[in-house]
Amino acid sequence: MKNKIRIERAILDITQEELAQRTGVSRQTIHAIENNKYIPSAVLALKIAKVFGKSMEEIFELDADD
Amino acid sequence: MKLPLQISNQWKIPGWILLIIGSLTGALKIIFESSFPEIRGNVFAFAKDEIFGEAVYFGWIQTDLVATLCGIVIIIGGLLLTFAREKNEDEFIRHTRLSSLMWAFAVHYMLLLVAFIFIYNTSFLNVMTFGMFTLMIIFIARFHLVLYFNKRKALHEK
Repeated sequence: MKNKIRIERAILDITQEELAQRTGVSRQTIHAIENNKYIPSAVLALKIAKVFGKSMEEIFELDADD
Repeated sequence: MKLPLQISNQWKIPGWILLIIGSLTGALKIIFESSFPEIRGNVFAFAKDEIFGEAVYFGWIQTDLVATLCGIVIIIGGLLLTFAREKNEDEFIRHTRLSSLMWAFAVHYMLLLVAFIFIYNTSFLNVMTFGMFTLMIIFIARFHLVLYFNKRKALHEK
C-alpha cells in the first residue's frame, strides 16, 4: 500500500515525531509506515488522515501487489 | 489489538540482568565443567534416573545445583523480557513482536531438524540442552534488533 504521508507532512510542516504524538503512536511506527515497511490498521490510518484533514483514500492508495 | 499476558515495562531491566547472569554463568559452567565450583544441596525431584545408580521417583536427592539455578535464572529472565511491554508499545511494535515469534519458531525448528539429521548420541544431548533456550533467545534477539535498527533509521529522518 502506497501513502502520501511524507508529502502531507511537508505541506503541514510537521515532523514524524509531531505526527506520532498526534496519532498516539511511536515515531518508529510513522517511519515504518512512510517507508512502506508496515501497513497501519484502519484505526491508525483514519487517525493519520484526520491530522491532515483529508480522507483515508487521499492519503493511502492500494498497490498492484495488494 | 492487545496481546495477552503482557507485563509492565519495569520488568525489562530485571529480565536483561537475569538473562545475562544466567547465560554467562551457564557458559562458564560448560567451559570449566570439572573445575567450576559446585553448589550441592538437597532438592525434591519428580524423577532422577542414572545409568549407574539407583533411580529415584518423587523423592529427595542430593545434587549440584549450578545448572538448575542457571536454567531457572535464564528462563525467568527470558520470560520477563519476552512479555514486558515496550515503553511506547503500539501496533507496529506488536506486529514486530508477532513476526519475531514466527521467525523464532521457524529458525528454532530448522536448527533442530538439522541437528536431528546430522548430530547423534552424546553430542545430541548438548543440542537438547541448548535447544531448551533457542526459541526464547532467537525471539528476544530478533525483536530487539528490528526495533533497534528501525529506531536508528528513524533518527536520521526529520
